[in-house]
Amino acid sequence: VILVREKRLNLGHLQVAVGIDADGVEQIRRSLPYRGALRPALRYLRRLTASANGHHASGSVAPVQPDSAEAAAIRRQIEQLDWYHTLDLPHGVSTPGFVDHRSQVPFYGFPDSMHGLRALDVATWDGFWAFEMEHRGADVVAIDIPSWYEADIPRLQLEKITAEGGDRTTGRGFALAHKLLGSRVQREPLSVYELTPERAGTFDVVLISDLLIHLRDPQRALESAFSVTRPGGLVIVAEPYNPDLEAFRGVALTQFLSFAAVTWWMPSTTTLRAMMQVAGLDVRELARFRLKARAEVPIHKVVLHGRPAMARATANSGAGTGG
Amino acid sequence: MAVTREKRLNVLGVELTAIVNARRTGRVRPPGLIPEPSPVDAETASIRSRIERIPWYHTIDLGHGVVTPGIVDNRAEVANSGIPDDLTGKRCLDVGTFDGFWAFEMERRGAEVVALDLESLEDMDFPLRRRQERAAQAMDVRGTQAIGAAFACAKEILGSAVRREIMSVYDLTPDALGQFDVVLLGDIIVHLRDPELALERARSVTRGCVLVHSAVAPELETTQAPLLEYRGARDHFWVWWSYSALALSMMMEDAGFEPVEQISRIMVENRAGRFVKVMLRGGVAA
Repeated sequence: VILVREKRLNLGHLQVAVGIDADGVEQIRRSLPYRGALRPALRYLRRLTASANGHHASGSVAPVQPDSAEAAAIRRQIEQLDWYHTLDLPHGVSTPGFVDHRSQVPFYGFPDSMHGLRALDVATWDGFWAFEMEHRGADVVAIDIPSWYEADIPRLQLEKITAEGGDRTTGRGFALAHKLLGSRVQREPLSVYELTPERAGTFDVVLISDLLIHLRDPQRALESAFSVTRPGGLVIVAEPYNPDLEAFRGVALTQFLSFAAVTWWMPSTTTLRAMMQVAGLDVRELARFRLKARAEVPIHKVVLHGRPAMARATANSGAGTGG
Repeated sequence: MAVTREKRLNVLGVELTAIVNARRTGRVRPPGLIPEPSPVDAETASIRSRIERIPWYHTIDLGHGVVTPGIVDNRAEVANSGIPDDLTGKRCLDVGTFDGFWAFEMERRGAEVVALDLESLEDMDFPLRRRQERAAQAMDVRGTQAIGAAFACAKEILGSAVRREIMSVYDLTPDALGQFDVVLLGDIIVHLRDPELALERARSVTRGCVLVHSAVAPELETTQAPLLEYRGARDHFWVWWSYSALALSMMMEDAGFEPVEQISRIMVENRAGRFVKVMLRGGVAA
């Protein structure tokens, strides 16, 4: 049996791992016990854990109160913008994001408390993960390209959008959410490729989520992330993968997507692991799940934790200079 | 071709395999391939002594019955290369020229040729960790890994006018070197971490066509999907990516080449083993 889905749920101290095959997923989805009992129970448990952790209420709760004047004011502001992230803002207002990470945060394996840790959110967009890590106590730097003109776009498409012109500045959603949340996250206009200890300092936790598939040179991005990760630190890579390639175990396959849906590549989990290893990280898989998003096709994600590997060669050369 | 001697040298972490074949040692001489050198004239003797001091990557016919003992012999591929027979009045660019085999070939057909290469093997796309290790060793290995002695030697003997420039394919711009009628990327794409950028830079200096010669992996071509295999430059040949011909063609299209067509698909055998090689041609729509 090929397991198409393996879920690991962190419910407080309890970790549940479930593996099912493709038919199984659909059967369970449709079954009455799942819809009637298990799903509500899981939601309830999640809500319980969230509130036990002092987490802000997640998506399935919070029936909207009749709008207060404050809430109405916030709604008017968020309506002006396109939102990528679903963010919970004050006064019971949430942004209508393309992706909704709120119920899937446990898959990523953040330390519950990040007090005293310096964290980096790479390509922050509306800032969901930056605010999440700040909420856990981290001192957070969020980086993003200052303009969409600086994204890795194929030559011809870039020429086209450049000819169209227009303001493609990033960060309006982030700025609004930042203000409304009273956040202290520091946003820097920086490409992942430009990350160096000199430019950005070093970090205990570096998060790369839903980014590598949009990059022309994902390997360089991972190497940049590695270069700013402290010894003993953690690089969280949470990326879409191609389930069709998972059967070819041991071969690091990647599908070239020709920038369809702004995506250069769709790698297998083996490829992602290998790229992280080449970038200098020891890799452990945490979870696979389907991203909650308003996408037409399912987005399968894997969460990989990378820790800077002991530099074997450095140890060797150290011995060499000693002798 | 009978291999009579194979030497493996480990030079500062880079493994070099030198295969000395029977012909080279002079013990076995296949009839007809090389004219009998005796009596050896003074010029031939001088050429022989000069090429002996240099490690050769390309097998190049230098005239006077002398052929360099390269570890890669592209001579049989010339007919499949997609290079136009007559290049009179054309400007051509050979990217990653190494000992210059393709540059001299294009010049022989009448072109004005610019040949691009790195200053040292150390400037290749190595993984960050390897670069850091090298930096930590605090010793300058760039000199020992320098590229270009063999090119210079062959150029002089051939009386060639090919202009060699030290520049990474990633830095190619029309401002630096102008536009070219033929841009050749011979066997370099698998060694690049960012192949799409290389193709885009090549496109920026192409006014005629690009020729991309590359090994492809037939096992990636068993489906209709454009597949690549990540190799991560972990082997001795520094391969970052293996390609299906379809993936490589699509990447050329994304770089702005139109149309992209396959000129030939051949079996090649050299020190890296037996593999399938494609020659793709990318045009530039008016």
